[in-house]
Amino acid sequence: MSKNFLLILAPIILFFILIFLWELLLSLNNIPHYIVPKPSLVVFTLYHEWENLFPALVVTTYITLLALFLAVILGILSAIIISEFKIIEISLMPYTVVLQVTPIIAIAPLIIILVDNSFIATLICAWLVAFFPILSSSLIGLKSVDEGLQDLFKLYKAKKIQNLLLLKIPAALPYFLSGFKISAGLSLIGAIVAEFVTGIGGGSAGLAYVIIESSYRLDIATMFAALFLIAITGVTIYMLTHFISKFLLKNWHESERPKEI
Amino acid sequence: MEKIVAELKDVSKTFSNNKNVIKGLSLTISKSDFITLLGKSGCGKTTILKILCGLLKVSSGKVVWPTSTFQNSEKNPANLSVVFQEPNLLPWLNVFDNILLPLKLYKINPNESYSRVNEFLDFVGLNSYKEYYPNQLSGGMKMRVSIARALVTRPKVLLMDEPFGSLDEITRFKLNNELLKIYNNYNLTIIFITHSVYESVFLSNKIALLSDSPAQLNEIVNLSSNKERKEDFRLSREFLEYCKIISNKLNQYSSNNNE
Repeated sequence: MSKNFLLILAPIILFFILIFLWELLLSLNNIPHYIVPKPSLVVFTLYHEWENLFPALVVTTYITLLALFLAVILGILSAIIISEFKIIEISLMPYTVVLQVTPIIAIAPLIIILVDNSFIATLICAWLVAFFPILSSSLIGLKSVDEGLQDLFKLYKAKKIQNLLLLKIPAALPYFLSGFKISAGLSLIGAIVAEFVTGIGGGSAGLAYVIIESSYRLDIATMFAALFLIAITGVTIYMLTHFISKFLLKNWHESERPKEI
Repeated sequence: MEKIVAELKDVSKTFSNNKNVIKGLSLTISKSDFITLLGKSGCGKTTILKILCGLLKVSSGKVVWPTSTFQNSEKNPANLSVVFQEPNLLPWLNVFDNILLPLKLYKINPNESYSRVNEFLDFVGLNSYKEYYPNQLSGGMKMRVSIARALVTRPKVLLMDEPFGSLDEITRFKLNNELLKIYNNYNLTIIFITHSVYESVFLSNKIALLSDSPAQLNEIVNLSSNKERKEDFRLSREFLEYCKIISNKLNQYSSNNNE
């Protein structure tokens, strides 16, 4: 029985204890399902409503991942451009801060008015929140190359492109990845918030729409089921980003070095 | 006549905060010299080295590398490599790729590069560690990688800035011996910086005594030839004599300065 095993087992056991207590508490106090549903009902609803929930899950996941992907590509590209040209950085940075600190929920209605296509509007909202952490962390990374290493490249008369590809980008990788981890979580939040605001139903309805719609019908069990799916999506994305980060940094960066426990 | 490798002519350096680090320094380095710049920590030795390799510009004076001595590459006409105080390895590359880096930057073809990297891996005795990443190596091993990386471009001149300063004495002695071997094997000219009297006497045939900031040249002490030196030189009478002479001179100059 290793410590690793306990690390996985302990939270799982706790999970089942809590679920059991929840179930027990509701049964004992006769709380109606339209206030708080029993876990068993949520599981039943998940199964029963799967054909409504699954497409919604696909839509939300798709928007989240697409927004994250665009945030990564554009975030890295803009960070590289900004770091290479000081003047762009000086003139642009104040505005990026303004965009970054304005809550997405406040901008979302505006974006939905400006952009006709509600799918694209949702995507923009999710992208907007995912973009800045990647931009700013990559930018810090590109600028914090060790001075000794920079001297080394200067001595070998490295070209600008060699300097970028062989020195600056690898050096920025841990910084980028920490931004990436934040952005992955934020893009899901962005997608959900935007779906709330757009409130689009029909074929392109996401999990947020399912939540709104079921709240109108006092179908709290479906709400919980959708919430559960959102949480699972979030956890999956989180684990994915951690796995990517571990994979890329395990050999050399302190943050992901395998440690003896 | 001895061929001149590098010349500092009345070099001064003042940083933008008006700190005068080097004042009127003139120094000639001849081919096959192992010259040590000896002075206190913070006296401006590193600045001299950075000026020599072109990382810093002089405030006044001139640095001359008579390129005719060894010109075999347009990119690096003086044909020099630098070993810094820190190993300065790229943490995301393994030992092999770290040594390969300069060749990659010089765009030397892969076959030639790989065989050269292997040659120097063998030379510094790290062949079984080529897959290791810098954070898996000890301080001495990291420095060996750094030296291999400096040698892989087949330089004629090696600048070394207190390369063994952060190592324990046992490793330091060992690397000192290896450095003498490298110096003789590859017929190098070495400009070495240290604040250790023993290290300077063991390694070099010329010692330049520097005064405290701003760095000025006090005197160049010529030692016997270091071509045949082996580890036992460390225990010889001659070694101790030299150490005594150098220490006395250092004391004498520093008390002159304080007056």
